[in-house]
Amino acid sequence: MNDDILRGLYRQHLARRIPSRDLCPSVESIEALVSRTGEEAERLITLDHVMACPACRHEFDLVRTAGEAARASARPSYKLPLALAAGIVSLVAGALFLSSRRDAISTMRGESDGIALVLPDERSVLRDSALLTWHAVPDAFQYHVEVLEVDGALRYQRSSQDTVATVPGDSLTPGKAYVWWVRADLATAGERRSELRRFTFKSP
Amino acid sequence: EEREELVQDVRIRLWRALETDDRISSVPAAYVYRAAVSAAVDLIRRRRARREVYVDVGRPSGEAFFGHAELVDLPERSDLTDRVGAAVEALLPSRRPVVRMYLAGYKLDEIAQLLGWTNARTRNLLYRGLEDIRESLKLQGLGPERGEL
Repeated sequence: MNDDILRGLYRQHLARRIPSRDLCPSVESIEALVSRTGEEAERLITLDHVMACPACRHEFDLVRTAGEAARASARPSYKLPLALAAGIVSLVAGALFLSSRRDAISTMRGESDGIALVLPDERSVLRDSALLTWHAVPDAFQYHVEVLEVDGALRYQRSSQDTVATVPGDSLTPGKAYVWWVRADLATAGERRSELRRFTFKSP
Repeated sequence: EEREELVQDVRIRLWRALETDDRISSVPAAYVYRAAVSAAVDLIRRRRARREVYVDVGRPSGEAFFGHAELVDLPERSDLTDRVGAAVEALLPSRRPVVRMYLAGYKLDEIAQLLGWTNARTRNLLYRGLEDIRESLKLQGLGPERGEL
């Protein structure tokens, strides 16, 4: 009996169980497991339960992926909170599919892994509207573009099969700086992300 | 909805605490890690307090994951899954969490990293645990010689 069949049978076994949360470990125990704090014996007991309980496992994946996103995003740059937010969006979304697509998570790590942004660049001062362009990525079937304020607030987002997006002028505030980035969904179940790039929007 | 809530919470935490770009540029990685983990923990606390039940819609059903017609047709299939479940439950406590995590789909290095163990130690416990399961099933007549499992 190979490992894949064993996995399938075990997952079926877990799926047939009726979950009860009465015996679930505390949130603090799950956090200790992820952060590797406290006694190892206690962490192993927590892990044993978490891996047999869908609800706890979901919570475990949420904490773990949030921490991973933070680690992956932490770097000495003004982009830090935005990178963190972007990382968490990707990784938490990935966590929701961990059971079936564990291999996809590895492609979600890292800051920028393959989408080359074209315009606007760091020196761009835009008026009227913002035309965002980037290079196509092989195997990408959809792109998600986001424009955020430098404080991390989302101002514009769009999903498209095209490599161009126009942000209407009334979505942006004159005189303010913004940051934009693109994520591509790949047909191979992974994704690619661009760097975060800044531009300034002026009054017409 | 969940990720939006979490991302928003992290944004608010960081900007409330740090307020300016200059301060953010010098924040240690450990602080960002704590902010993200704390936000996730608080989200879970709120959900537990509201007694929300997580429904794993993204998770494949046994049939979807399994996908082998010859096994789907086995009349004793539910019995087989129970026996696998029982074999896992019967593992030594030192091996069982590692095996559970592996069977849940995590990779060896992820398990080792979570537990702070070397890959060699983790691999040893995992392989021994998997062998225990196979031996247990074999004793019940559920080895490779039956149904080419």
